[in-house]
Amino acid sequence: MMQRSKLRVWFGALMALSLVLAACGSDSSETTDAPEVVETTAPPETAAPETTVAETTPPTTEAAEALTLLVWADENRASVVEEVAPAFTEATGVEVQVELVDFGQIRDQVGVAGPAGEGPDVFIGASDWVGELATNGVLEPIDLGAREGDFTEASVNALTFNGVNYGVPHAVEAIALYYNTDYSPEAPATFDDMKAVCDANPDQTCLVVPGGGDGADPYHNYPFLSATGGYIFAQDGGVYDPTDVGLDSEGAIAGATFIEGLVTDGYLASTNYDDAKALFTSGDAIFWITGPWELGGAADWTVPWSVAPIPTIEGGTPKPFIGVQSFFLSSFSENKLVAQSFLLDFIATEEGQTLLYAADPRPPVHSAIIASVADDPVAAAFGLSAANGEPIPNIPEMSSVWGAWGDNMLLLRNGDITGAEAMAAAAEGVNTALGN
Amino acid sequence: MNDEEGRAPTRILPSSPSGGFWLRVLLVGLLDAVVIVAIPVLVAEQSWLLLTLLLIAAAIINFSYLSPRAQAMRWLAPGLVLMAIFVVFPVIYTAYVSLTNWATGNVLSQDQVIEQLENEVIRSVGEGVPLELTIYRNGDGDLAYLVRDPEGIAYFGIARDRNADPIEDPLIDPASLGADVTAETPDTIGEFEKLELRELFALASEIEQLVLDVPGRGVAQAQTTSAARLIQAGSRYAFDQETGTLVDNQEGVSCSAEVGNFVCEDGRRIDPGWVVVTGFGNYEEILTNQRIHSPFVKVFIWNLIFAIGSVVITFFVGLALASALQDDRIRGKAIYRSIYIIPYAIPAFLSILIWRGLLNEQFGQVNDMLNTLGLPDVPWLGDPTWAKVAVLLVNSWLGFPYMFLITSGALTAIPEELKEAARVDGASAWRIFRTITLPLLLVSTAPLLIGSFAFNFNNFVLIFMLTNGGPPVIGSDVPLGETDILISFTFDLAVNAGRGNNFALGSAIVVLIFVIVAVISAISFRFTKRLEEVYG
Repeated sequence: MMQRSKLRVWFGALMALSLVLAACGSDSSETTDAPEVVETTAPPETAAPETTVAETTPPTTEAAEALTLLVWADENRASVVEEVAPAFTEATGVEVQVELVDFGQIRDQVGVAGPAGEGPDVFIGASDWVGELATNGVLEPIDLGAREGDFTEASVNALTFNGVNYGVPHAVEAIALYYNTDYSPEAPATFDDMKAVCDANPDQTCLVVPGGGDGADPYHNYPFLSATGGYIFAQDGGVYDPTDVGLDSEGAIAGATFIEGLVTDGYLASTNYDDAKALFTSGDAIFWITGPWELGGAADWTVPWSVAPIPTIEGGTPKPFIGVQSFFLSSFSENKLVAQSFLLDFIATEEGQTLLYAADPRPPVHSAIIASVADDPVAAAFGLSAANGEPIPNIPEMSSVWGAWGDNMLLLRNGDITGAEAMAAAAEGVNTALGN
Repeated sequence: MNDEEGRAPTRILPSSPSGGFWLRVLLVGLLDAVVIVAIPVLVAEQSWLLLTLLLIAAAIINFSYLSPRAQAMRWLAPGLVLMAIFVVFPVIYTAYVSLTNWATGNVLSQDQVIEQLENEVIRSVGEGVPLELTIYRNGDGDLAYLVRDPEGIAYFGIARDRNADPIEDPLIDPASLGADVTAETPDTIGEFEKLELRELFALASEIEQLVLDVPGRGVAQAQTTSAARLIQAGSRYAFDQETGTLVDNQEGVSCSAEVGNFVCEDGRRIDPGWVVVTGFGNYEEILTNQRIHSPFVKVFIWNLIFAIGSVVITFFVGLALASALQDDRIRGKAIYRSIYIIPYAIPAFLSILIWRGLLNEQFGQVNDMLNTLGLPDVPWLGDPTWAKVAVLLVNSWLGFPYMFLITSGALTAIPEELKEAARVDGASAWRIFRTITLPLLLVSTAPLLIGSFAFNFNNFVLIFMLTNGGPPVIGSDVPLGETDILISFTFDLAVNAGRGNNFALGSAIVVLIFVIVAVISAISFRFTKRLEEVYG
């Protein structure tokens, strides 16, 4: 009996093995093909020295078609890239494969997928990712070369980290002032004008800005600080200095004290993002500061509205944060020359940027597109606001700023502490986090 | 008994293998096929740990399903393997990460870092001078570049590999080949023919490695198929395998490999760095860093209140409803039961967001209802005390159906005779509940209560989505909220640390929280055991 059962084990193992071999056999076309493709399309960069030019034989069409560019894009821009792709493929023989990745996921995923050899060649992202991704070594610098002059200076600056450019910009976002034209037919030029409008309509909520109530939102409150000369990190020749934190600078405290005044005088309501939106779109609030991303739902608003740059504060022009939407190149791309040709000769061109604007109408950064939308007052207002703006500092140290700064701005907006207290605490929080 | 059952199949073995046996062989064979297909992939990616684990798992499954001696294992093996993959492996991996320096700036391997640094060019020369590029090829397959700078000066010559030595006389005068390049770009220069776009792209990987020497100005490197830039010949960094040092050719200094980064003689730390095991530094950081441990007591006390409060409230609410539904006078029990399960059936993250809206101070329906009753607005999420109440309230709503379910089951298991006897002895309903029902209930549900406690102790999702820790603590020099529990407080510290994400520090914190929960749970289990001895 024992003998028999042992025999069964061996027999079973043998059967299992034969199944394995069968499985391998049927899979072989796939498993052996894959490495070959990799080798023909992308010889390892380090192995190249021995290859002399003379060895290059004229390419076969198969080899050309095997080249594929993988692009990660969010749902807004995947379709645009797919629209540009056929022209690129037609001209170059390089296939463009677009993978839809949630915008919020792209930042974390490229850092993981790239080093593992599974990342995209090109991906969509925002300018404030640049510092972290470049520091991690997953971003490849891009020389915009002759195309640099086609883009607004601010957008190129936003993509520059330690003096090196890392992206091809295509849209810029900055917050501006939405106003209810029933109460304020003209855009207020200064905050005093705004207060006058509100004093004339005492039953209305005056100004709503996200960052009060239960939702910290320092981003929307930065224009108040920058108008009076406040800053986050000092800049020297385009390079941020993380040891010089400007949250408790004179200008920032002046701006925070201005907020304090608006709060105590009842001009600025303590609202989180959703409350601010609800108050304005229901016709209760006269003024609302937020970004162009709300334009998508504007058709449903029942109130008459318009947009203008944020009014000046005590003579200073508010400088909202600008975030630049951009195409990036992965440093783990095996086809960098192809990817750069795609970015610079197809995406960075007027045609490419026009297509992008049509699909994703956020304020453009290419001079030709800016000129073409100059007649649209809303686009012009957001464009003007962005032109006044400052890039969100793109250094990785910025991640230590949002929490400490946001908490104290929230307390300030809710009237729990004074402007001076808020800025002192915020600066202290950032400085201890950074070990300054 | 068990032994006998285990041995039984060998004794009554049928002379020919049964159908079940063939099915097992088939399934195990399929599994092995998958494993063997995975082996080359894992070898190629050098994931030795994963490979070892995979092979061990496969060996265990093969043995337990093919050997009659391991029959009992057949029922345990799949569970054990899945537990190893989804529980044990992540725990070990987290512990491993906590011993490294994995954070922003240190995410690659050292080889990847060296490869990247060696690809870096010296950019200072002619930076920002965009060059027009046209690429030609002759019959031998030699590639020649025609580059033109913004002033219109053109250079033509055969490109060389960028790591090879410079060619002595790299440039060729196009005029000597009978071509005029001063104003336009000809289709042919001597025997060289201009390449079409498609041909260029087919050669892309080749062109990436080529440069054209431009004497006095550096080398021209293709950026795209139609543009080039001027850089300096040679790479910025050169790595010496033997000494393990990196030479910075631009600054002329050598840099040695320190912990996770190259550090140069001039004190400059080069980014990117790599992941390396650094020992217990992260744990030291937690125990010595004032920023982390000064708010610890405050957070820990609220964390305990939150976790214990959640368990106690949900347990008694669930128990009350379950007891009520036990009464025979209630009709339509099935309907009530279904209603009570609803909060359990809706994904928590969804109902948390809805609750956030309901509790909104200005627009929330909860305050609307209070207003109609003539009560003032309650700052549910804005006031330190009310925010804590709101957190407990919402968590109770989320958690009571679970307690309702388990207590309903446990209540029916308590013998009616015990209560009957007590009633005969003249005990009041309260006394019966307190001395008979509750203790017996606790014996069977205590392990689940401990599980619920451990879950709520780390209930990150609720805090993160309902209050995000808020409202902020006034005067705190770390981002700290009144409703922050340990995991949400430290999440902010680790994920938004000094220079970005500090995954290693985060992992160390998670390991410590794991230890805290494990200790509390172990003590509780000991306590329930005593309960069992008394009542079980």
